[in-house]
Amino acid sequence: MMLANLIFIPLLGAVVSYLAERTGVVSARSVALATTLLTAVLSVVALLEFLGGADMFPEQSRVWISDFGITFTLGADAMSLSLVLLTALLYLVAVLASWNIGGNRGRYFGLLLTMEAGLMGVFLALDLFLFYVFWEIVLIPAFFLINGWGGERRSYAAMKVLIYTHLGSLFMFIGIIMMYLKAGSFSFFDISDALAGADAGFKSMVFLLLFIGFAFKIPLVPFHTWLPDAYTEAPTPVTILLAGLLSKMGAYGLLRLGVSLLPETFQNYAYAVAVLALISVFYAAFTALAQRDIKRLVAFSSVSHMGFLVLGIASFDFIGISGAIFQMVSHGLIVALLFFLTGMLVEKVGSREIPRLGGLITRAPFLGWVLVFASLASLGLPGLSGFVAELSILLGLFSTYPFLAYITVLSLPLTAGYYLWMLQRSTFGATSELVEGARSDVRWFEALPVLVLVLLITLLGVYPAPLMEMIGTTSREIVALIGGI
Amino acid sequence: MLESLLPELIVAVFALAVIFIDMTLREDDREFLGYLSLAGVLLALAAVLMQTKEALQSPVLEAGVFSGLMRIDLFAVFFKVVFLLVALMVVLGSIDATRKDRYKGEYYSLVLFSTLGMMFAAMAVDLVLMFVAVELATISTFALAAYRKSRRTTEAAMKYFVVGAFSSGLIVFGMSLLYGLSGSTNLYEIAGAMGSGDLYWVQVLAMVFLIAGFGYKVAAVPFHMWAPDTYQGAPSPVSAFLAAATKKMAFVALLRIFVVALSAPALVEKWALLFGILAAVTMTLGNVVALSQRNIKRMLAYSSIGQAGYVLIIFALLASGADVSLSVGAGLLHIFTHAIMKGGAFLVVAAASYYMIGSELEDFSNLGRRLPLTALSMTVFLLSLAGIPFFAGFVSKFMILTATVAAGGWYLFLGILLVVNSVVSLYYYARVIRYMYFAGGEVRREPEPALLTVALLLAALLVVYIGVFPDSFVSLSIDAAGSLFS
Repeated sequence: MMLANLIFIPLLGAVVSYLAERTGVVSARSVALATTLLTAVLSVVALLEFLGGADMFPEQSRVWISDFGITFTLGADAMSLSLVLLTALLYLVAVLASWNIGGNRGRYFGLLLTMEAGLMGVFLALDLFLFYVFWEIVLIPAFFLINGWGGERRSYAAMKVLIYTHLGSLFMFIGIIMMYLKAGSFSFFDISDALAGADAGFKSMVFLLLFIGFAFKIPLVPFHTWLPDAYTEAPTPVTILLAGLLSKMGAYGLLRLGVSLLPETFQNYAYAVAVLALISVFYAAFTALAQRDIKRLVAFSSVSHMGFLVLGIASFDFIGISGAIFQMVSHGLIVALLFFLTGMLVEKVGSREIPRLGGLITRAPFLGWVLVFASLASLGLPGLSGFVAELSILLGLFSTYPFLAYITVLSLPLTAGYYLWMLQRSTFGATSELVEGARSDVRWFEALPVLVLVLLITLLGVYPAPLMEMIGTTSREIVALIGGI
Repeated sequence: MLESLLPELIVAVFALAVIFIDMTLREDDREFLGYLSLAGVLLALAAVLMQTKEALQSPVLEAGVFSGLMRIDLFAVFFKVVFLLVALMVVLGSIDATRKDRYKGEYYSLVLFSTLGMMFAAMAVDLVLMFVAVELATISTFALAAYRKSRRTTEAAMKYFVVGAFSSGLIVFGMSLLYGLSGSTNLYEIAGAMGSGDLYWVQVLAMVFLIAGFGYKVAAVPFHMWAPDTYQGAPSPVSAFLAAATKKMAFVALLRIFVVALSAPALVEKWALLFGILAAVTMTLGNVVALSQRNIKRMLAYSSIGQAGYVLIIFALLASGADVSLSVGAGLLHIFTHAIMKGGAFLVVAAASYYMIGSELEDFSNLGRRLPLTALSMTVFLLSLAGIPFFAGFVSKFMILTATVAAGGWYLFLGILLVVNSVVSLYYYARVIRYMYFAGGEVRREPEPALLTVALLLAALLVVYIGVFPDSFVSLSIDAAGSLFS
């Protein structure tokens, strides 16, 4: 199978869904659903080929800009494939979450699918120029989507996310160009070879430049200030994609470029990165505690969990890195479910304000129970996927930086605290006036994504072995780079 | 020898034809002159493209036309393509944009004569011819800037004229010093005679006069004050012409004089530093001031200043010992892409004013629904100007950034400044997009002026094409830079 299909089919779908809505032949949303379904099927096909032992790293290569040794090179290993599958799945969720979106649907789904092409490109590119190009292009549809379909302060939020992450990305680009000048090519493999013999000062400089780009995207405190506005103001489906996938771009970049290309350099800075991540974990958790808007609470909780993920990467331990990659998938699923529910809350109840949602579980039991489930998953209840990921990360961290690990453990009750407190005030407790009038109906395009996500979160929690094993191939390679097992 | 000047002959003949046929036409029929000019530009473009094809085989077609006055190399041909493409856009757009104006004959012949001057400037390797060609191009635009009579236009044109005349004076003075120092007006002979270190201060003086003189023409800070007023006051198609073509011509002259004639290492060291400072100040001031502009033409003018700063960076790099073809090639491609996208952006303003839509930011509210194709092309131009991937501007900015990083050391500072400026510029470009699409309120779709829209769409298509398939354009510009020396 050609991995390029995973990029071009969403792109084609984007054009078709725009034209479909204009001409009125079919609705844009059905084209979008068909496209995302097809992409999901193709992702699964790619996975099966990978499991069948096909070498897809790299899969294909074409010259793009010859004077700079730039090629259109795609490839996938276990890590890329996990994220490709996550992208395909969350796009199905996002399309269903946008089923009744207002405004010009042709434009909306066109932009949404263009973004999918960009995301797939980021996770598949093995030419760093190509990687950067996809990385940047994801932002443009996001800017339009937030601006066109967002909440009250949308134009401020859209501009902020655009400017902030663009700034970070350009610093990353300088880092990439520096590596290119060393290697004479943008190919991941050529650069990997060339960097092996480069001097330490040069590598430190490159690492810091790259890190700025990733830190803005993940985001780590203090590079996170764009996030609460963007996540809150974006329409629900876009928030799902921002939190579930765009943040993973940063983590993926950190692993693919930071760890794989500059292992020793990263290791020198690992402690500092871990401390930064730890600050993120705590800062975001405390901020989440203070939120009244449930969407903002989930946004900060997301920052906190991404900090956890970075801790796993910085542990440079086999189990820790496996846990981090596992967390990418797990956090993607959980955060998508949580944001999906916040969207439903607005639809059914008419508010996201925690104090106004009291007694939800009596009036809208489906919504209430799923919210309980998602919160428990997010706080790391054993038996659900978040637990597996965070436990592995902690185990990895204990073997490398025990002191930091002890502090990290302290964040767990905090996370449990803000989620349970939120549940207590919103879902349980006295029925509020607003909830009295809540609608309790659940339609198919609401139930389906919820059920799929719940199922997957449980499955990965109960039986994580297959995914862990697959991820293990990538993390083993990474650990081997620094002379580990 | 004359056949190698075929493109210029075509433009000259059509320019004269426009004037003479104008006398025989009734006022209602004068729209024909637009089509006549269009045909001339298209023919000349075809002839130049043939030359390009030849020049790709052997970069220097003729080294000394008219006993060494001109040199037809890939560099010259490259710029002729740029000028003719801009002329094509402007003429195509002007047929709609000047429909209600009276003096069409004068208008089109001035555009053609100005283009002719630029084409000669692209080939000139002799100071005298270069000066004459630059003057032909600029003096024609003085009149163009004053083409419509209003207080604002007159002020714009007057300012442009005074500054233009003054800067020409500076240039002549610099050139005469060069002649005095080297005993020749031929750039390649000057290159051989300079650099001995004799008359050190005279050399510096010559460089300062030339940098200042051409600095006015490219609107580099601190010689930029005229540009915002002129671009804002002039009719939009003329602003497009000024920003996209006239300004680029000054870069041609700068490149020929500094990179060729003053290429002695001892000299390069001095002027490269000057250019470095100029570049840093120009891009920063241009972009920062653009942030606060509410008028789109004025904003585009300041953005133009900022973008000129990006090109000036490459002059600074020439002292670093980095690959000259790469650095100059990066500048050439950026001149090319900037000409198309900035020319296009000004034409969008022209299209808007066709429906009496002003050029304030608020006036562009909902342009996306009023004039969807116009707004779409504007979006392409703006994203490209901001350097977003898959648009032309990204490719050329990437080349400049790479050249800067390759130079290493302190030049990296210029690279970081470029990046930060790029982010700043994204803000004010994205703001226009926001107004065009997300302002809210009800509007009616209007029929868009056909030819102007065609011009815009062609330009937007070219911008996307270069962004998606940049390979041949990148190597073309690098080869064109190389042909300066071969």
